[in-house]
Amino acid sequence: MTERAERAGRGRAGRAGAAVGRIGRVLCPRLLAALPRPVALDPPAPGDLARCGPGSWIAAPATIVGAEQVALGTGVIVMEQAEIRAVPAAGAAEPLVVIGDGTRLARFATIWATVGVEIGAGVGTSDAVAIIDCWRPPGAPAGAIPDPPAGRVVIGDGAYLGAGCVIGPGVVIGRSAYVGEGAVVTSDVAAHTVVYGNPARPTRHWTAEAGWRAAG
Amino acid sequence: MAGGRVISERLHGLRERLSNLERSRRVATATVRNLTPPPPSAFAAFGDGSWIVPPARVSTPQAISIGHHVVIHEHAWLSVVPAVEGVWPSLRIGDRCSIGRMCHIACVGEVVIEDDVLTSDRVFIGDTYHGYEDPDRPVLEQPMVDPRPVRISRGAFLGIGAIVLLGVTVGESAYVGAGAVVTEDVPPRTLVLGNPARPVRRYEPGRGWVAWPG
Repeated sequence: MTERAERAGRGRAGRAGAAVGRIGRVLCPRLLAALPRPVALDPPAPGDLARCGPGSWIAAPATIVGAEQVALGTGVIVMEQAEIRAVPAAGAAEPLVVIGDGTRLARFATIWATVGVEIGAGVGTSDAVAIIDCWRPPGAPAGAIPDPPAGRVVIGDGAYLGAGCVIGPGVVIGRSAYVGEGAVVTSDVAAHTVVYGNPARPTRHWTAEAGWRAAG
Repeated sequence: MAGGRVISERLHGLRERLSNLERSRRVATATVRNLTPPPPSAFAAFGDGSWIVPPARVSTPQAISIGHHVVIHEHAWLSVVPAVEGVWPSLRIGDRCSIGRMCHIACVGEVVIEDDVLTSDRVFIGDTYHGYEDPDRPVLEQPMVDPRPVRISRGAFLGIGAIVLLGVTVGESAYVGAGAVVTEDVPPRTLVLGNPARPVRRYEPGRGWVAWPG
């Protein structure tokens, strides 16, 4: 015991302090447990997801609405500050959000799903990528007029999404395509194609015969 | 003499460590203070049931009025600054608005967000920009240009990462798509996309969403 602790242990004040400390140690965990926890920012337990393959994880903090609509393959990594909102529209195929084996979503990813978002295997993303199949956050109060139509989003195996890009409703991204940083994709992207810009346009394209060529 | 030098060096090292510790503590304290939203009483108006979720940066709350049942999600930066001579800034946010995470509103003149506006994450709304006309001075040091009022009308929606620039009015129930950079007025009940933003669809009662101009 250090000299200071010994001194604190002596005398009436010291005994009272020790008693308060004991009561505090007993009460505090109970008080803390009784306080409302920020459940919205805790990632769901694997059992709450539609599927969570071995080695897959969602980092905290995360905002996951509709966890039972989210299916992760094996070895999927969803980094911190992800926002996934899955609220099925009438007749949507379930689960709404399917993420393939070995795919990695970097920090600040946003996924909004009402009719379906399907991300293939081995897809990589940089930070702050948005993949949305509808125009407003699912679950938000309805506006004065109906939303523009939603459309299923599909991202092919091995594609890469650059930092801050947006994949909009109804877009299909081909196998191993590269979506450039900050691109806003509003129409389909062919396989092995590089797109940049807002709205996104192809800049390069690969074929087995000619290799990489400038697009257009 | 050698012993004296050693002691003085050790004292110096200790002083340096203490001052580093003190600096870290000050930075941490200032960060917490700067990122804690001011109390409702500091605002020009702050309606019932409204929330600014910390952490948030709010400057000049006396120039900000917030309606009822507004939620401003975390990491907002309400940068309301009297930066232009003779212009007192004013930011008004109407009832039942929901402002997404990491929103940045740069206001030196007038920014009005009407009732029932919904914005996604990472939205930027600015009624001015840093002047850049003087080639010999850093842009950051040059004065802000004269602000032009920005209005987001009732029931409008701003998508993820949308940017609304000075002088723009976004019409009632308009949809600003994700990543759009709005430089011109958006008509009511219209969907705009792209940089610069262009109308792509509009809503007609009875016909639904039709291609622009339809």
